[in-house]
Amino acid sequence: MNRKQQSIPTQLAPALAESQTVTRVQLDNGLTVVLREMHTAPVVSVWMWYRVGSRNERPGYTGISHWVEHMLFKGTPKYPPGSYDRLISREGGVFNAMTWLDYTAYFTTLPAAKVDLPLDIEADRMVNCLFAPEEVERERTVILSERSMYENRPTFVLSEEVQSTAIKVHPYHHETIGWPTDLRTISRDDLYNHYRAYYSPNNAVLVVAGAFHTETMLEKVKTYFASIEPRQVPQQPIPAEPPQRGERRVIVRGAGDTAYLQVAFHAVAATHPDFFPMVVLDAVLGGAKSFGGGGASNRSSRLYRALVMSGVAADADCWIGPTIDPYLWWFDLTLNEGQPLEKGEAMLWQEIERLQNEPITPEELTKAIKQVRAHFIYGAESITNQARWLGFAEVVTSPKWLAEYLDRVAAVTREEVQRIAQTYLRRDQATVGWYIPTGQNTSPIVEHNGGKDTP
Amino acid sequence: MTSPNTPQRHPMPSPDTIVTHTLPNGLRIYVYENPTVPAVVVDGALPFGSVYEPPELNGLAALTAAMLRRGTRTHSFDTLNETLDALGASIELTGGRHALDIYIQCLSEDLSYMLELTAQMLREPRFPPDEFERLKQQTLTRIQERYNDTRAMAFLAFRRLLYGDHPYGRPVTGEKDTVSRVTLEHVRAFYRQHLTPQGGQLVIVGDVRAEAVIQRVTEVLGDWHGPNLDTSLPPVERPKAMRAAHIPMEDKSQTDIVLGWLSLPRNHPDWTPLVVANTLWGQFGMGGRIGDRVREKEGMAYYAYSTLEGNFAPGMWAAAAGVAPENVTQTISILLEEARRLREEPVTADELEEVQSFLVGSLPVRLETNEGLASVIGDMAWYNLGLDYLLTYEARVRNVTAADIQRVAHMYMDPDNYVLATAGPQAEVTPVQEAQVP
Repeated sequence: MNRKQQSIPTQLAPALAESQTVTRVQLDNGLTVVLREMHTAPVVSVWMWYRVGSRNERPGYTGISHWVEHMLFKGTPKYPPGSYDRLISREGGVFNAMTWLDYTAYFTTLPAAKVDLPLDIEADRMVNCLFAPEEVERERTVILSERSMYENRPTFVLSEEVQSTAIKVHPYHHETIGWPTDLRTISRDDLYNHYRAYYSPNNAVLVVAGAFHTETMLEKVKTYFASIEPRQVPQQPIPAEPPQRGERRVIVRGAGDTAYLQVAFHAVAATHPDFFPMVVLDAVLGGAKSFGGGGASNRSSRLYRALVMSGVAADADCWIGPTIDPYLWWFDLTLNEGQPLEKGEAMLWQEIERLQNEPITPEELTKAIKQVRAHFIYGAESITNQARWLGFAEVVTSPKWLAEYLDRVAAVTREEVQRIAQTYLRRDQATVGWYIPTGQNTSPIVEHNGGKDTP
Repeated sequence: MTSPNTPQRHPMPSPDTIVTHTLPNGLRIYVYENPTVPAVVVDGALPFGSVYEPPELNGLAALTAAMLRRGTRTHSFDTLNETLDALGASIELTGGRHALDIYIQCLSEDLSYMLELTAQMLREPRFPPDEFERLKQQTLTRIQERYNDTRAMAFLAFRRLLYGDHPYGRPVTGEKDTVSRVTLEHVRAFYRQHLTPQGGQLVIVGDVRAEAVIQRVTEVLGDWHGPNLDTSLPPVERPKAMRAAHIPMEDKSQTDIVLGWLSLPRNHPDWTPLVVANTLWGQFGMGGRIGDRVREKEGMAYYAYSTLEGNFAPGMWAAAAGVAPENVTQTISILLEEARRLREEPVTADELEEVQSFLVGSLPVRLETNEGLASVIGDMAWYNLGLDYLLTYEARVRNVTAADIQRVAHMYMDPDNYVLATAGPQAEVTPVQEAQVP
């Protein structure tokens, strides 16, 4: 065994760290433009990022950023509702948009020759969206339906409770989708005002990655975006979360036969020096994840070994992600039938205490660092992913943060990891959530007309 | 490396760029060199799967496949996990309907070792009893979670109604009672009787040299021989009348709907017209005509789309949507109206051109990654579509006419005799009652 112990050579790290391959300029109107020329496939990916997410929302208006994102597909004088879908699809492109705590992002990946289309669309919808009242009403029910889809999942119902209990004051309190009452009462003008407040070039980042020539592309970008006027963006202070003074617990009861446990601790901002040892500790406990989502195998991780190999849980995971302000560090268990939540929770605490009492092994540290590296390389292959990383870093952290990511992970020590466990994974800083199944929907009862052909 | 001013040509996978080799034991190897990043994907398939398992042991094939990964003669499950995780690599063996799917992701420098480990899993599994008990428990938990998932249950019920007792009617994962029944003896026997390289394939895409990879595969799998597998299937019978079912799940916020018909085997000559018809019905843009009406015009759903699946035997062609219980009836009407329209109204030249351009133009995006390339090459090989499939793909799509679409819609989409499954809270008017009105 142990045939393989050599490390993955540093030069294999993606070219992201080579700053000369990334061109970054700011236009006079404040728009940040990031260009990543790469000729690995005849494709370009265009990402438009806005520095607005649920972090910028106030009580009574939760979910408004995500709803604005939906409305950006609902028409300008130039592009009527639904026309992007057709125009991009007919060129063979894929597109989507996403809203989360710190950002709203729109992307299109399509054959390189068609890059003008997404550039024109993004420039146009930055300022010209109509928010027609009938479109707003139709989208209200679409978003309520999206929320219903999430509510159908026990793990969403539980995580919404845990999140809003762990964070009481900071707007990370609520889910990005928003509370149903707000989704019923937010008006057309509320949405339009939110759009006008945050959608301006000085609050945005445009990333283009793929098969193009940088100089030509920069000229093109200027043609579409340089004439857009900058605007004052709201600078309202975001309330800091007060310290937690003791363990918090929530219980959710719902359908099914499966019990879930979620424990959330307060994490640090992505730019905090403790973020990197947290990433390493997270990998030791639950396996490394690729940057920005997507999990590696975690079957040699401590949680898997303790909780899944013992037969207590079917799944055991943890997650930490880069955010502007301190968000949460999540631990999740799916309990096997007949295994009590108390037992799963006790075993999770045992693993955490072990980390507090003794440092991780040198092998565990090496493995975590290698995993993080390998997942960077897998992700770097896709043009869409590269554009995503570059834009994400601009909005949430900084280009320097992304360029140094692998080195800072590699520099983490075992002592730091132990200190992180002692400082952040404390019982009095935890919010513990139990999903207790009520026993409904426990078998596939199919009520039908006999399953036979009826006349 | 490519210099910035000379964009490299982007060859398509074709008989000229895919290196092929067949081992004497019948295993076919396809290598496509793609030196973008120093990584590799292996996407393989061996004839195997749930279609060969007895109905009372539904889930046996999936359990058997998963057990291969849980320890070999020389490596325990734990050691395998430790080794793979330390390299940031993964090997997954999954039992499907018709295949044992092999998926490897690793850095190029580790491929040789990954192939050796995979060969051990396939040829010398240990089948440890404690791992079997854990796997079974995990599987039962997943099934339990499925029983509480409206979308999964609507699709499961749809499949049962559509296929009846045919093996395609069963979930690959199995059911609670059938999985509980499976023993390690069943697993050992199923492995001995079914797993074979004959008729299997390995597609390898990434930063590799074809010659070296083929040599390595020959070293580790060349002298492996398995049983002769009878791959014949019972015929699928096309339902001749309405079939409907509702799965009551009262605790849920919305209801999932699946409505559709049998499609065709993947290599049927009507497959391409059917793909074009399906793209129009529920794929293009935001869910095609269905998405346009249910989501964009009526604002009733976050998702409303159609899906087309083909296999060795006819797959399914179905629309799916998640809506509030009070909108179930109206949504079903819209899905059926749009099916009728596809049969009765010829598609306009513009709309047809749009859909064809999408299907042709999206190919480069699908081929952007090793994983995408391996999956497309894998399909060409598995369904015998020919390695020149991508070269002729555009012509095939462009040749589909408005009349072809109406013809396939008439043949495969009957708005009076369809299969309907719903799962979620009971609506005031149940979809079953509604659906039985002719």
